[in-house]
Amino acid sequence: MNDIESEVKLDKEVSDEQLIKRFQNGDNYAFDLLVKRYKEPLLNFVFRFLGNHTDAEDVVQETFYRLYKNKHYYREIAKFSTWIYTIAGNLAKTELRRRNRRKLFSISHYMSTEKDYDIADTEFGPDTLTNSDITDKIIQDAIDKLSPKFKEVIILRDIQGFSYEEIAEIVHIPLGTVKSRVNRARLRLQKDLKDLVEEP
Amino acid sequence: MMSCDTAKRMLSEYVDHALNEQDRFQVEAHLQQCPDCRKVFSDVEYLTQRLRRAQTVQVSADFDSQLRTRIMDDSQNIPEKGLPIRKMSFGFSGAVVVAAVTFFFFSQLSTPPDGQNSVSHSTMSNVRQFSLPVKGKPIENQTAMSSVDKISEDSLKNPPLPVDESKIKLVGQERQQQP
Repeated sequence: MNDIESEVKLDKEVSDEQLIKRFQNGDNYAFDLLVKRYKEPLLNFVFRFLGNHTDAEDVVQETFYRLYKNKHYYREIAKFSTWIYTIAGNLAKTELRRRNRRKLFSISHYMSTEKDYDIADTEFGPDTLTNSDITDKIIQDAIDKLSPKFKEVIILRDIQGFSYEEIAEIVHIPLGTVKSRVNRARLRLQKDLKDLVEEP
Repeated sequence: MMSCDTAKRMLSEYVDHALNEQDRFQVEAHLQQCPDCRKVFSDVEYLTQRLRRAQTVQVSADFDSQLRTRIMDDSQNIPEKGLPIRKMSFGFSGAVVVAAVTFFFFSQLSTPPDGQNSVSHSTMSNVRQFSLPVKGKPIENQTAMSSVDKISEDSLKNPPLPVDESKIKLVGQERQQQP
């Protein structure tokens, strides 16, 4: 078997836990494979959390950078996927807090100058978006309105498709709390998106 | 019949098909009777499916190269092993300050105000004032009573002592007797 074939085999057959083990033992190719496996799912998770592509990509870069630097902190008692999602989720929450502080500052700054500002929404025009895009944007706006603790569980459950048990591991909260948060988040989204659902 | 609140608490597990048969039967019985809850459940089922079909975003083309650059930049700037010199200088100057304060404190205690080198009685009493309380067995109730308490108790029990009123001189009376 040549090198390329063995690499393809490694990519498809080896579990995440085996890859991180190999990476811990100095195999940087295993790190590349982990990046390849998780960059898109993590980006989608963080993008839904922050609602901004550039910020989301920065957070995912930071997540992989920390994985590279702190690879020895991973212990086999946890699934690799829940571990890496915990890191990304924590970084996303930190970014959200930082952004809220910045927003608070900028709002007070604008208010002190007593001027009206019209901010053009360049990405939301009839010519540039399809119906599906618009629906997605409306849903994203409703997700953005949720508080971070509800937002995190609803994204992990309904967009990423994690089980309740996996979410409990990622967020470090009891299973009952996960179920209750998912339930409340769904009811809140239903309330906010009632008009969207009623459309034919 | 099940209340709307109870039904809504079970909403997520119903939508995820995670309810046991009995609970599921009860929820469905409630939904047949309650159009409001039926609408909420139907909306949530639709939204849950819609979220699963939400559009995905892709990483930018230079994602991998940016990550690699950042990791390589970092590995080229590895800090020297051991404590950095700056941290060590802070630690050293801190130790010097602590030593100077301690020396000053003890030199003040051991030098009597009159300039004598021997430790005088007054200096020793000053040192005692700084001593920490000594840990020991707790004082039992009988001995814990202070001497003042004991005196007060005795004076209440005993009959009052006979007083020679002629020996008592009040301040005013004393002044009157002086001339």
